[in-house]
Amino acid sequence: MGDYLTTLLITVGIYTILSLSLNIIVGYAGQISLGHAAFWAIGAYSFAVLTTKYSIPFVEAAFFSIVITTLVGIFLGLPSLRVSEDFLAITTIGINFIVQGIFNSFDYFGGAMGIGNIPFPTMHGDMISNNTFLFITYLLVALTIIISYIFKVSWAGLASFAIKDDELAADVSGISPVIFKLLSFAIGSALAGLAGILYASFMGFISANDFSFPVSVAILAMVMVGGEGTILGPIFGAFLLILLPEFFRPIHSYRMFLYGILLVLMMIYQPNGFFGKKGIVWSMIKKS
Amino acid sequence: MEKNIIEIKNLKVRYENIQALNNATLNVRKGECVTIVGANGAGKSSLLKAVMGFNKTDEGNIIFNNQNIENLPTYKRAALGISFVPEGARVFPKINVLGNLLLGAYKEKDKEKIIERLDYIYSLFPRLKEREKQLAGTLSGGERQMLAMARALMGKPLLLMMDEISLGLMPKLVDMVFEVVEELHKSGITILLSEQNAHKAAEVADRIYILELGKITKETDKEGLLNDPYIKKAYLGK
Ligand SMILES: Nc1ncnc2c1ncn2[C@@H]1O[C@H](COP(=O)(O)OP(=O)(O)OP(=O)(O)O)[C@@H](O)[C@H]1O
Ligand SMILES: [Mg+2]
Repeated sequence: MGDYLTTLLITVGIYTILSLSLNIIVGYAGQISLGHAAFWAIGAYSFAVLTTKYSIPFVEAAFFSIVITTLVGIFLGLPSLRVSEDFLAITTIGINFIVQGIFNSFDYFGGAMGIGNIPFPTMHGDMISNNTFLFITYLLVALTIIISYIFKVSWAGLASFAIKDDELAADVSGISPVIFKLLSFAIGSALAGLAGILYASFMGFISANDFSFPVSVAILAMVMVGGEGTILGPIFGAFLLILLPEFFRPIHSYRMFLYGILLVLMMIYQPNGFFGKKGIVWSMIKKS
Repeated sequence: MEKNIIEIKNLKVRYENIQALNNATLNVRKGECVTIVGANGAGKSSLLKAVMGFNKTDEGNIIFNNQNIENLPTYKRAALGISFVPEGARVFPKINVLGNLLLGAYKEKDKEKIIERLDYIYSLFPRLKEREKQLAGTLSGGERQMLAMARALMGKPLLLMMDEISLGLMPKLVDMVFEVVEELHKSGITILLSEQNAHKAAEVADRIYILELGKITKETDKEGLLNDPYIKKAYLGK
């Protein structure tokens, strides 16, 4: 496979993990988050710092990065327990800017220069090929799909969905909104951390601008366009929103603009997404 | 005499400048059906919500099954065995009837027991069985009320609290719902109701508290309620 195509598919894979992970927070638990890139950044930066500054081996560094992202995710999920949905949207935007700001300003995190020389995975001492990296990426995409599925059909998934449906009714049924909201933030941010590791390792160089607010909007757009709460939807959304600007090169520079328009149109005409209830794609699948 | 399941002592609830509950004191003994009767705005919902943990209580104690619960979060109170059917039949609209019921038995991990309870509940509410696969949001108001009650029962509560279950139902359904209450009472479940409809309250209750402007002004029984001149005037329109 050509390098361009490999890179493109790896990018799509990383965004698929991101949109599926945000889907757990937004689609399953109903916690609107406009700052998902922050968790992605925390995964990427943890991995970059652990490997370049402390020379921690790849797998250990990856493990600790996910632990760190999960813990920070739970911590940053705390506001969701106190504020209503509209305020949570604003709070998460704030979180995105704060996290990006920290990575951008502290020398420890490389400041505006970012962090380079992040290791690529090796096997028997040799760097693996891009195609092997692609293969690993899609193994991890598969893992994310499996986790999404298990969560969705589990008791925890039903409980989260119930809280999303009517928090008061869930509360009186003995279902703790605290536990399940934080659980969704924990799983969602852990998977975003995983995407961060893949990204940092593949690029070899990261800077805070990679994880800006528009990126969070793009990830949310992938979830909403595909259909929040479904599994096929966010996968489809990630493929569509990454590949569309690639195949229609002229719109590439305007892709954020495109995501914005798409998001608005979807909210008006297909609020449940293409794969959601009454979504055009889902309806076609059901008919055939 | 049976022991108290719940004891509420000098409970106060305040919303900004309204004292919704002022030194309310009452108790419910094991196996009893107790009703709180009061007009609109008397504080019935405020009382039940405070017991469930939705209203911050300024003062007073709530002792449930020998344990102080006034500082516990709602879901923990539910886990201790208090079930609450809030005003206005709160169901999970995007989940089907069966899913709603299973969520009511959330704490129970034993499948056999869950199935047993489901059977029992379907015998009380055959209509829910027919609609097992229907989304709760598409049920009629009366069916939703039944589902809310049924879901509360799925948790096998030590105390079942229901806030104005007759609200907005047509007379036939009100009768039906109260027949179920009667049935539950006979089966030994401890029940605390709030009602505006004093007739209905009198039919099912062992004891009745009258709540007025946040204060319990009287404790009485069936006969007492129906013969009380004041109550006749205020609640029975006679
Ligand atoms: N969240 C709130 N904020 C401010 N005031 C409130 C709030 N909830 C209730 N109140 C006030 O507290 C008083 C008691 O209300 P509550 O809902 O407990 O009455 P109720 O007996 O349940 O009445 P109804 O039969 O109409 O349901 C009322 O005066 C009401 O306006
Ligand atoms: Mg009320």
